[in-house]
Order: sequence, then C-alpha cells, then structure tokens
Amino acid sequence: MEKEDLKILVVDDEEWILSTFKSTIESWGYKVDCALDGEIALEMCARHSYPVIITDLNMPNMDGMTFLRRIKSRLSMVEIIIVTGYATIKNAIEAMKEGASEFILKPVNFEQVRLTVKKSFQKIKAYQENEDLRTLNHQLSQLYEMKDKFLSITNHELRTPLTIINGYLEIIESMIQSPDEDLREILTILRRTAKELLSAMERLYILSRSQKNQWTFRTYPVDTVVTLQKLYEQILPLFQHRHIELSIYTPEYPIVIQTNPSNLKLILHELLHNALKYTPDGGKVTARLYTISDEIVYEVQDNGIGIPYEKQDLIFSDFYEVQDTINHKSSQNEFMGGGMGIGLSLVKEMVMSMNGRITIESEPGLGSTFRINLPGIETKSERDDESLV
Amino acid sequence: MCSKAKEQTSSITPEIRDQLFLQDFLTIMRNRLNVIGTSLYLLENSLEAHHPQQKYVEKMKQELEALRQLING
Repeated sequence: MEKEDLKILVVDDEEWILSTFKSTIESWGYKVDCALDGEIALEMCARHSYPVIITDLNMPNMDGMTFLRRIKSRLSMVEIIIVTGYATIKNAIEAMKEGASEFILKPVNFEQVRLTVKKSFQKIKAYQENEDLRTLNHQLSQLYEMKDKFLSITNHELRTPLTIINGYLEIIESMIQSPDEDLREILTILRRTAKELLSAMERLYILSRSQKNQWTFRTYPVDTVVTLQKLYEQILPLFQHRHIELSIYTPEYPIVIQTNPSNLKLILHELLHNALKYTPDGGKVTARLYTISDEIVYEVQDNGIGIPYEKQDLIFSDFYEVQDTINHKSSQNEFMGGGMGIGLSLVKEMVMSMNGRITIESEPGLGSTFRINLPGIETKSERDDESLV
Repeated sequence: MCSKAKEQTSSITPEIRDQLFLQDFLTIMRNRLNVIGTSLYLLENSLEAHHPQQKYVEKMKQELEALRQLING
C-alpha cells in the first residue's frame, strides 16, 4: 500500500484521548484524522478515504454502534476497531456482528492497538491483491475466449478460400505443359505459400484445441523407430539441399508405444524441422531415439545458432520465433526461414498430452539439443544396440 | 515473431504476450497473402491475355480478396 493510503480516523468524544491516539499512532508512520462523534466522522468519511477507523462506543449525537452500522452499510471494506471503557460481552458480540474487526478495552494498551492496526492494513492489502487477481483472471478469461473464438473462425473461414486457391492452382499447373523458368518459379511460390498457410491454419487449430483439452486423439500401437526412419527419408532432401549433415541413430529393434501416429510424426518432424531452420548451411544435425527404463527418449541436436538464455523459456510460446520476422527468408526450409512460430508450441502440447516432457539445452552460437521423454513403451527388444541410418 | 511483439518479449509476462496474439497472427497472414497477391499478378501477366487459364487466375484473385477482407475486416 502507498503511504498516503495508510490513513486512520479516530472517533472519540474526549479530546485528550484523541490527542493521545493521534500522536502515538502518527509516531508509527500512519496519518491520523480525528472526529468528536459519529456524525462528524460520517461527514469526514464522505470526503476522505479511511481504510481503518478506530471508534469509541459511548458518544453524544451518534454513538459508536450506530456509526459502525452506517459506515459499514456504505463502505463495507473499512476496518473498524472498537475501543471502549464500557465493555460488555453483549456489546462486543453486537459490534462484531455489525462488522467490527477488533474490540479493545480502555485503558488502552497501545502495543495491542499497534498490532491491531497493522493487522487491519495487512487484511486490506490482502483483499486488494485478491481483487486485482480476480480482475486479471477475468480479463484473461475474456482474452482466451476471444483467442479461441478467433481461431475457430479463422479455421472455418480462411481455410475454404485457401483450399479453392490451391484447387485452381492445380488446374492451371495441369494445363501448362512446359512452363518457362519464370512461370515455374511463380507457380512454385504460389503453391508453397498457399500450402504453408493451409498447414499453419491446421496446426494452429490443433494447438488451440489441444490447449483447451478439447481434442480427443485415437491411439494405436506405433513403432517409433519405423516412424522416424520414414520421416528421415522424407526430410533428408531438405537437409541435403542445404548441405547439412543429418544423422539418425535408432535401435535395431522396434519401440512400440500406444499413441496417435499423426501426433508422433508431428513431434518427430517439428523438432527436425526446427533444427533445419536454425542450423546454417553446412552444419550438422543428429537425431537419436533410445529408451531409458520405460521411457522413449527422442533427442535432436544441432550446431546452429542456439537460443539466447533469456529466451529459452519463451520458445514454447505461441507465435514465438527466435529471429525477427524481418530476417525471414521466404522459404520455411532456409536458414532462419519464415514460419508462424507455432511448431514448438504444438510439440509441447502434444508431448504433454502424451504425459511426456520436453527439455532444452542450448548455448547461444553453439547449438541446441531438444530432448523429449515419452512414457508408455509397449514392446522393445532386450538389445540396446544403436544403428546408424 | 513480429518485431513489435519481439521488442517487448524480454520484459513481458506470458499473459501480456498472449495479448499480442492477434496482432502477430494478422501480420503473418497479411505477409503471406501479399506474397500470393504478387504471385497472382505476375502469373496473370505471364499468361497470354485471352488464355483459358486467365479465368482461373481471376477466380483465385476473387478468393484472395475474400481472404483479405476477412483479415482486414
């Protein structure tokens, strides 16, 4: 709380008591105003804000209990401390029922008053923090709702025109028998960009649904070794094109887990593609698949640009990419190539949905290693040999 | 990620970063749609004026316009 918020109103019909309270409480660092009865106190509360009020019970014009009732009906969060020389159990119970926080007897022990005032301000602070969190939570809920709605709309509304563009493109390509180099390049860019957008839409939609736990995937026994080897064959030309050495080490026996084949392929593919993007031409990428206890470990190591330490926590965030958009190359497969920054978010969501975990080790300028541990091996051989594909 | 969002990434909370979501997404979409638009323009000019494929290019341009309106609307 700010210093100016630490304001206390003391209400008592005896001036010397007010004076004693004022000087003592002010010596603790609070600001103190005084009122001689409940009526004056109510007027002062209408003009100023007092988070804490200390009041006597027996006063002329308006007694402490009436003041307590009226101020609580207007300002429910004010902390009221009753100080009285005519204490009865009935009075104390009634005051507490009306919302008083504490009941202190005269003659006053100021250490007790100090602790009570301190406790009252702590209570107010806690309440305010709670309110702030409640507001923030509400704002975030609205934001997530907006994000989900947006993703849902984009998925439905944007995919259709893109699919149509792709369709017409295929027709044009089939009609052109021998395109010259310029035309071929135009068609390639068109096809690639439309495909990228469609793929991004699809991935974004899956990501959104996964984050909301709205996606139910069918699972089957899948051999991770075969999946990775097939992926290697598909993705190798992209690495060769950039003169990047891609090595994949897998055991010579099947490692079968119960999972959704598309999700598994997506995880394996995204990490390899991420390494491709952030490894300069002529670099080296190594993928390993092995088992530890009942877990599959999939590891992709590159000698690329690495991830700055301060950004390592951010890379699994939606739309996060290490480099600036301005540096993007037009192709996703080029060094620092363009992308939407959802690949790693998607991997994280998929891995989490499989009760797995993902970790990174990265040195800026030296490279990164992404490691995924997935539980639930169904079958594997006793042999621990590795083979170089 | 977009430069505007990137500038703030190091200091912002994950909650605030989420607020940049739409902004980033729309920028990325617009960039890609611009690439498609430019390519369609070049394709149109590469084909003969009354070539039968021109009608497909025209239809693609209409779809692109629909996409642009969705993104910018």
